[in-house]
Amino acid sequence: MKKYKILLITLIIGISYIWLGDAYSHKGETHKKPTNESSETVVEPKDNNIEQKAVTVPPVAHEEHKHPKTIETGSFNIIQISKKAGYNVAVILTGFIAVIWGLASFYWRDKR
Amino acid sequence: MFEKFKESLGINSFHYQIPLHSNKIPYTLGGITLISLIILFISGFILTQFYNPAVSDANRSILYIKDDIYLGWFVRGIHYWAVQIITVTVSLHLIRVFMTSSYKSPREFTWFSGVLLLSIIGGFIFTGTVLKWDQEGYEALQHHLWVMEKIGVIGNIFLENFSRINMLGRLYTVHISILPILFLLLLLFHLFHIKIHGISPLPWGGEIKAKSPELVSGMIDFTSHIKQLIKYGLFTLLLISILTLVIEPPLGGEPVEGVEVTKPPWMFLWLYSLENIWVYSLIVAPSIIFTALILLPFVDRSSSIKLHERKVAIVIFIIMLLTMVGLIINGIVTTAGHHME
Repeated sequence: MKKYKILLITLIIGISYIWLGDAYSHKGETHKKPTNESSETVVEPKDNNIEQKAVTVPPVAHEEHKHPKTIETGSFNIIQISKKAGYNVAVILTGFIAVIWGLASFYWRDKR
Repeated sequence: MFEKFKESLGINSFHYQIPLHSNKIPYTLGGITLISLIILFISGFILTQFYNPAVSDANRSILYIKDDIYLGWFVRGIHYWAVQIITVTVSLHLIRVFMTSSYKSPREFTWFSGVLLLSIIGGFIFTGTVLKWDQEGYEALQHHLWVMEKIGVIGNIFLENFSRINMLGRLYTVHISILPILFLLLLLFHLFHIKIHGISPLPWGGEIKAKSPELVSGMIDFTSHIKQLIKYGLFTLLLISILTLVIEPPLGGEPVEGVEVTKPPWMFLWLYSLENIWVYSLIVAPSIIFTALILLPFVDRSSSIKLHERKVAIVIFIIMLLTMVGLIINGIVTTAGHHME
């Protein structure tokens, strides 16, 4: 039981260290919204990670002279790993949960 | 030291006996749902720090969360996948409760609070869908406004004209404040009644056998049940995390007014299918289902909990269940189209 606790504490310290190192690696930089300096308007964040399904809607009767509207409806997308900030940390977190689950299942297994 | 704290915190009072079958998966579905809800609440707390419920910025703030915030995509994914898991576990919990007759006396109020909790979960999912403020969210709001307009006086409270605050902001308040408070109050009521009446007996054991010495001896400590729930809860969290790592939840662009081109989330597809047949099903179908669930303990008043003595009730329930699944499948294969005038 004591070994299990030591392992648990080591894991918690390890994961915290990795996470903190990754989260605060920019040292003192503050979060800023990206701005377009020429016009000072806020630039919309680019959606690089989700492919969106474009649905073209035919024009309704009273606006036949206009172009059809294109609507971006969302769709599921397999994550593009390299483009996700902190993906490695998320994987480690998931691994950490798996270890905790494994330990809990082992030490609290049904002994009946 | 730890023992002293355990005594001071009242943890020792958890050492009481409950039936052995409490640790079987069907009887832990409510607990798994509860743990998933805790995951949902915690991820939701984080998301509130970055989400902006202004019409002009709501959709962009989600892009900001998932693209610019460190691990924002992960938290959003956890929030999304926790909802999917909850929908499954809460549905299975409802089926288990019906099959084991847990709605019957003396557990009617546990059942009522459970039905209300289910409705609130539906409210959470609906408001959460609108908050994305993409085409799907916008169309969900239009459906909501249509329904509220049609139901008259009570519906007026939920219409745009009721307040000068925009609907998105109001639904955000409902999502992060009103629904959670109602949910927690009802949850306390639900758990209190589970504690008072105990977990329901096995349907093949029945009330008579419950008094037999074999079953009485088949008891476990409540802390063993807590440990079991923690194990299942950790597994659920692991599953949610893996899903988050692999599949990103959908998010469309800013909505375009006046068109209907999307379908609702899969848990509402049964309603969508009915809406395709008759648009007023949006009002009628949920009302019928809610009323039927509330009235169930009054309609089915037999005291028997054995499966073979409840053939009619079980056949009706299975038919309803299959209909629901059929409607969801139909909703998946149907092409989206206009419904409301």
